[in-house]
Amino acid sequence: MAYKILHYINQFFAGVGGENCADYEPKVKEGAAGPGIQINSLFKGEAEVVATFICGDNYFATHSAEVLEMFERTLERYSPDIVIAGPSFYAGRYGFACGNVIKEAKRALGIPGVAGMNVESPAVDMFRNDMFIIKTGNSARDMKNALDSIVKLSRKILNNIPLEGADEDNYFSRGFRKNFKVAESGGIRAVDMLLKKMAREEFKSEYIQPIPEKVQVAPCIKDLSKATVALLTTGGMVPAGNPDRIEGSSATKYGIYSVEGVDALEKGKIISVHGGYDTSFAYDNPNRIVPLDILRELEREGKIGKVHEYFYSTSGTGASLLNGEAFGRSIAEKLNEAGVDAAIMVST
Amino acid sequence: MKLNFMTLNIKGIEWGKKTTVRNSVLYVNAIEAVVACGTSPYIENITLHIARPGESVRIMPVKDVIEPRCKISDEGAMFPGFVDGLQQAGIGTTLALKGAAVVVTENNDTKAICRTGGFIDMTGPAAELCPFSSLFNLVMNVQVNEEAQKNNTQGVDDACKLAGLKLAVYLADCCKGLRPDEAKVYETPKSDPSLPGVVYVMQMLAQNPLIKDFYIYGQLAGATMIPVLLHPNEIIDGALVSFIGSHNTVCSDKQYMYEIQNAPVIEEFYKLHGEKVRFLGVIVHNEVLNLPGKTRNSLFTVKIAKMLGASGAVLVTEGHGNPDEDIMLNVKNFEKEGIKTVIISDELGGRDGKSPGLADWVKECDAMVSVGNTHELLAIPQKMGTFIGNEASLDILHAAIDHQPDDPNYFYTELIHVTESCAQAGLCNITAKWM
Repeated sequence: MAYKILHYINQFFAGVGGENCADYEPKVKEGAAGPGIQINSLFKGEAEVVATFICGDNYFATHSAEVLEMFERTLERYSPDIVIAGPSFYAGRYGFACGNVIKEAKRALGIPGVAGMNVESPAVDMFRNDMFIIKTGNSARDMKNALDSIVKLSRKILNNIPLEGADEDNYFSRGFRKNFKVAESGGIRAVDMLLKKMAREEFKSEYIQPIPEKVQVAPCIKDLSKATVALLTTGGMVPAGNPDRIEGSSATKYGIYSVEGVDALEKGKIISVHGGYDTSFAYDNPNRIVPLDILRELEREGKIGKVHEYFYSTSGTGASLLNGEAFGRSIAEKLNEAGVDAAIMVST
Repeated sequence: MKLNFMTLNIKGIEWGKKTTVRNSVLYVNAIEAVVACGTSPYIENITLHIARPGESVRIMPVKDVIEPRCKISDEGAMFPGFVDGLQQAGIGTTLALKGAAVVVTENNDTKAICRTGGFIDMTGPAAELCPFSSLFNLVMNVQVNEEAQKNNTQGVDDACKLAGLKLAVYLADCCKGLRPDEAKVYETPKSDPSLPGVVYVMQMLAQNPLIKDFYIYGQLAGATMIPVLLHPNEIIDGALVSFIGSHNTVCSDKQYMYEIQNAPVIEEFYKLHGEKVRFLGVIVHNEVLNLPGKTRNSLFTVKIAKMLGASGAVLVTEGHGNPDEDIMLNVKNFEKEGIKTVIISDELGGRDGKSPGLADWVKECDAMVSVGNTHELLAIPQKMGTFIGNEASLDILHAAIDHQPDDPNYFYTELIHVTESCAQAGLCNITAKWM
């Protein structure tokens, strides 16, 4: 039996009319209409547009909730295997509608959807992380290519054929990376890339990263004798037994451990689980990574106001930047809430 | 500098009365081989095991993987300063047993201070991704002196490293008189000066005195040197020795000896020398821990490349976090001098692949070969038929996550533990793509 497609298009591609008909109320038409006819012929019977949901772009923008409710009922009625929306090319409101109906299909039936948009369409960034959006030209002149790509990708999704990657399958990446085996080793690829780069030929980097944001340094503390100071570390210091199971490398969490009433960390009670430095000295004296002993001294001498009652710890080796950023923000929030004025961050 | 390079292709490994190669099968006299490892007060006992491709064997922790090589000429030296004396490496004739490797592991570090070194499965999903799973491996399983392990982990590491290198040389040494299957010459004769000059930059972790990261001609290089120029032939003959010590780093962050010996970039540059490039040399750049050191070393690395007249460089690295700053600083400084760069790196993309892969990035960095997201999860069998190594080290394989594969016979680990699956000198065949 052929896979069932529910196709979403706007008033223009349904042949109702242009901008003057943008308030066209939603209608469900049995079978294919507009670009759906071509979709059917490209699928050659493997999949079929069972119904076309047509809605004016303005109408969708001003009555989204109502249209989506009707779309949900349509989903239930036809129980399609996939939703294809558009392609909407450069069109803003149309793209917005396409993204929303695919999201609705995922929510209501858990089925996938494929849209088609131009890179300049604002809907791309709104929806790319949640669905497949085929890269298209900026107008209907690119209809043939767009439908080819949409059908190719949909066919893979419907048949559970592994995807080859956002570039290879011609869609906007959904914001994550996946490993693939390739024919040539990394070394051979690197030399090949260098030859092209030196010859000023076109080459494609396998990865480009946005430049990381630079964090502003906080203003310095005027009177340290009144300040509460916290201790943080990426040295993997945890209570013996590692109750939170902090990983020795590529950590996915951090731990919060009390030092209330403790004068100095005790050998054997606080240990390092870090997988990237010689931890024997940290084992011998954990205060060398979490310098509680010194801080208590300064506290007694009145040089600092108070030692914060917890230390915060994770393993800094092999960590993902996103995890690191998240830990940092979360710890900073907790310190702010606790009224901590300064923190000593011991990295290893 | 001219190096004749002879190869015996190894397609099997068996125990035998005499250590030799017959019909491409490496026969090993186990007693002689253990003796060849030498003695050390830090090593109590060594047992040898055979691990062939396709066998249900798991080895962990993998401290070293070495291709058996030796000199068969009077001149030259293999692993100078370790096995052979301090003679010029990279000249004369080298014999290599291609397809075989010595794998070093240990079995009695129960204090779990040793959390480094990945695993090798000889079959299954991890074997698909590990370049050493397709080799005929002689596994050296070391029982170390426990007292020494507590007090002198570096001494223990040194002893294990030396024993492994000796075993690798011994195996090749026993095949000296045999007719090689292949012979080639590594040299970089004078060539058309209009061809672009290229260098290979090996950025190596340099964290001593606490960690012994790498040696050049037997000298602990690490943090105590400034970047230095080597001839690629010297690398091929083991002038640079690296080891995954007890406190080193997780495995896929480190170049194993086998990858240094078989650096694919060196091989490619040799192939292209005189036709498309002029291969000018290898710059060993130490990734030290402080900022003045990083700045100084980048200055020297770029200066050496400039003095050589380089127009292009491939940079490979070890580690992540602070070493990412070394890459970016080098890329920036190279490009400023008009020397085109390509870097090879893995990505620390998180299990979901959503995190930026490196700790830093500069706008000058526009060419990177990705050898994969080392955080990606892989379902591997709970057990193999045979385990060689230290069971205590297996604990780190288990990724702390709330879901596991449907098949209870499997569990999730991160690629970072699959030895050289995301090899930073580009030995592996994986990449990461946007999805």
